[in-house]
Amino acid sequence: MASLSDIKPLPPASETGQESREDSIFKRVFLSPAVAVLLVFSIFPLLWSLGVSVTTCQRSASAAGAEAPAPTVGSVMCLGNPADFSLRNYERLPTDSRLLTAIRNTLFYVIVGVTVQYCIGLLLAMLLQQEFVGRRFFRLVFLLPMMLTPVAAGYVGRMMFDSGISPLAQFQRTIGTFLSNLTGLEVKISVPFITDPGVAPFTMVLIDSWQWIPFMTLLLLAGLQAIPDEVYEAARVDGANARQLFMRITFPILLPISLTAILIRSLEMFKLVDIINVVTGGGPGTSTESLVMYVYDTALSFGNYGYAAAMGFVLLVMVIIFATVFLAISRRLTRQQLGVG
Amino acid sequence: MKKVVFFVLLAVLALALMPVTAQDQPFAGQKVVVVTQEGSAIGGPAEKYGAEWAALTGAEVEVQRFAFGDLFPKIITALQTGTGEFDVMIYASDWMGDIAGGGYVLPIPDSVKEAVEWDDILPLYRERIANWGGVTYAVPFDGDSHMMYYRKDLVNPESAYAADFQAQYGYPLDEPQTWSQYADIAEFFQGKEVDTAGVVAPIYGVAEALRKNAQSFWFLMSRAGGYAKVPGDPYFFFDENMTPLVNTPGWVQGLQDWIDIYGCCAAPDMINFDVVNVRAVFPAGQTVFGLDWGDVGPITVDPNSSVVQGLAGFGTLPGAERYWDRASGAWVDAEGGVNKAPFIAFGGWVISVAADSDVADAAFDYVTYLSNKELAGVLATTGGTGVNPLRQSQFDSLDLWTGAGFDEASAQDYLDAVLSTINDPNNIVDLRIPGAFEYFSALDQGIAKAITGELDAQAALDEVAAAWDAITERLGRENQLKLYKESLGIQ
Repeated sequence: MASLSDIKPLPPASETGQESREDSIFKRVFLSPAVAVLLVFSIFPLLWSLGVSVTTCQRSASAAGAEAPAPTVGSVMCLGNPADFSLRNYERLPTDSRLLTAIRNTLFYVIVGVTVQYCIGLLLAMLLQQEFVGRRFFRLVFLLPMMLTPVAAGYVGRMMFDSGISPLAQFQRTIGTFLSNLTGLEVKISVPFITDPGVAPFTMVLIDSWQWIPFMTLLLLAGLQAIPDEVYEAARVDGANARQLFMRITFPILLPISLTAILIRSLEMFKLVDIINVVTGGGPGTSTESLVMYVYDTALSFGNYGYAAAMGFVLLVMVIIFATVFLAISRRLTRQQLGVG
Repeated sequence: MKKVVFFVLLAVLALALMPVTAQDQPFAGQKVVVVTQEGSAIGGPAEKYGAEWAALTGAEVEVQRFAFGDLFPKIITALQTGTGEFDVMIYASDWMGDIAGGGYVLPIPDSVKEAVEWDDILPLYRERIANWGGVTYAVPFDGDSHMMYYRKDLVNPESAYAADFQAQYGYPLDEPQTWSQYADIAEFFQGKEVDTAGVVAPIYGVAEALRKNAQSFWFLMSRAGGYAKVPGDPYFFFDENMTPLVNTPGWVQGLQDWIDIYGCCAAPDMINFDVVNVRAVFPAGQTVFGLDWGDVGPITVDPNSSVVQGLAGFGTLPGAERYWDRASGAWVDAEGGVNKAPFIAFGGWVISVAADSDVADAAFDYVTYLSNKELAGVLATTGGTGVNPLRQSQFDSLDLWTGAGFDEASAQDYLDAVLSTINDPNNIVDLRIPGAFEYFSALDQGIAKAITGELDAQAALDEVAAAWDAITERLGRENQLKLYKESLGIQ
C-alpha cells in the first residue's frame, strides 16, 4: 500500500514538453486580470506619486474665477494646476523639523508598540492554551477589541484616560484618598496620560496595543496549538523544567510565526493615524504626531501634493529598510534555532 | 361604455392634477448632496431642515457629515479632482479663498438674496464674509465672533468674594476688561469651593480650546488681538509686504499669557479641549471663564445642559493695557487704558452651491430654505445648533431670546456683547486667503510646542513666521498679498 510520502507532485508541463501554445495563451489570459489590477492599483500609483514628488505640484492660489495658467515649456499639469519639475521637495526633507519629529514618533510606536504587543500577546496565548474553566469564553472576550474600528478604539481610549471623568481617574483618586487616610498625609495620584508630552506617546501605544494584542494572541495561539504534546512529554521525560520547555521548544517552534506576526504589526504601526487623531490630535506639543498624519495634512489639508509624495517615499524607504533588516535578522535567528549554517 | 367613460374621466383627472403635483414638488426626482461638519452643530440643522425641504419639494437630500478637521480636505479634494460629489457646501468662511477663489462655486443669484431677505443680514457678513473678489459666492448661515463667558454671580462688585479680591489685587472684582484682569480673576478662583446651583464644589479658572488640530489658533488670535492690533491699522496677520507679523511682541505676549494661565488656572485636561468641551464644561459650572463663539450663550439657558442658568455673564473679549506699534517698534499705552480688538473668528459658516452641480436650481432652493429669516431666528436662539446671530432682526427682538429661555437682562447682555464685537471699529476679520488652513495649521503647531514647553513663546512664533513665509513663497507672494489686501478691503 502506498504511503503519502510516495505521492510525488506532477512535474511542470514545460518539463514534460507538453505545454502547447494554447496553454500558454490561456495562462496569460487568466493571469492578465491580476496583472492589470497590480499595474493599475499598485505600480501606477507608485510611479505617479514618484513623478509628483519631483514636481512643484500643489493646490493653486488663483484669484476668483481666474483661468489656470497654461503649462510652460518644461512644466506639466498636475491636478489641474501647472507644476514645474523640481527637487525642492527632497531638498526640504532634511530641514523639516516637523517631519523629523514625526519620524521619531513613528519609530517609537513601531519599536515600543510591537514589543509590548508581542510580549503580552505571547503571554496571553500561553495562558489561553492552558486548560481552565471558561477558556472558550475568555478566548472570545480577548478578541473583541480587534473587532472595533480604530476610531472607536480611540474614543474608548480617550474616555479611559481622561484625567477628570474617566474610571481610571476615579480609581486614582480612590487610591489617593485611601493612602491619605492610611498615612495621614495628602496623597494625590494623577497620571497625565494624555496631557503630558512625555507620557502621551506611551498612552497611544497602550491604546493601540489594547486593540491589537488579540491579533498577536490569535496567531501565536494557533502556533501553540500546532505543537504536538508528544514533544513536551518527551522533553519532560528527559528532565526539562518549565523554563527549558519554553526556551528550547515553545519559543523556537513559534519563531517563524512570531516573526510573521511582528512584521505584519510593524508594517501596520508605521501607518498609525486614527487613534492618535481621535485621542490627542498629535499633541500635546508634537509628542504624538505620526508620519502618516503629517503626510495626510500636507496633501489633503495644505494641498502640497509634491511634498506629501516626497514624504510618502521617505516612509516607503523606512519600511523597506526596516523589513529588509528584520527579514535578515529573522533568517539568521531561524537558522540558529534550527542549527543550520 | 360606462367603463370607457370612467377611464377617460380618470385620465383627464390625472392630467389635470399633474401640473399641480409638478408645481408642488418642483424638484421631484432630484438629489441634492450636502457636505458639512458632523455633530449637532451645523450638521444637525442641515439634516433636520433638509428633510423638511425635501418633503416639500419632492427632492432627496443626502447630508454627508465629516469631523471638522476632515471637512476642508474632503471638500477641496472633491472640488479639485472634479468628482462632482457635492452640490451644496456648508463650510467655514475662512476657506473662501480656496473654494470661491478657486472658481469652484456659483455666484448667489439675486432671487436667492431676495428670498432670504438679504438686507436683514448684518453688513459685515453680507458684504465682506460672503464675498470674494467683489462677487457674492455664499449665503451667510451663521454669524461668528469670539466672546467671553463668565460667572456673573461670582465675578461682580457685590459678590461674596469681592472684598477678598480687592484686598489681594487692589482693584474691584468685576467683568474683566483686560487679559491681565482675566488672569487675576482666574487665579483668584482656581480651586476655590463655590456654590453653583446649590452644590458646593471646587471651581477652575478657565476653559479654552487648546487642543492640537482643533481651534487653538483662533483663540491665540483672540488673545493676541489686544496686544498686536494697532487701532486704525488694518494689518494684523501680515504687513504691507506680506511679511508675517505673527512673531512680533504683541503676538508673543498673547501666547505668553496663554502659557501662564494654562500653567496656573486651567480646567483639568484643557490641553485636550476643543470648543465642544468648552461648551460642556462652562455650562456645567466647572469654570469661572469660558472663551467661545456665541454658542455657549443659548446653552447656558438650556436646563438640560446647564447648571448656570441666569448665572452666566457675557462680555466682549478682554483687551490689553498696551499694544505693540509695529511702525515705531515700541509698546504704546492704550488710549483709555484698554486696547480692545475683538475677533470675528472664523467669520461664520457660509453656504455655497458647487459650480459643477447638476441640480443647481434645487440646490439654491435648499440654500434659500435653510437660510430664511424665521429659521435663522430659531437656530440662533437654540443651543447646540452652531448658529449664532447674524441678522439685524435678531438683535432688534428681545422676545425672540426671552422666548428661548433667556431672562431679559441676560438676553440684552448677550446681544450687546455680540453686537459690540461686530461693530467695533478695531475688530479683526479672520484670515481669508488661499492656504488659510495651512497658515492656521502652522500656528497650531507653534502653539502646541509653546504650551508644552518644547519652545518658548518667541521661538515658537519665530518658527511659525518662517513657516508662514515659506507658505506664502510657495503659493506666490504677489498673488497672496493682493488677495490679503482685498480681504482687508484695501484696493
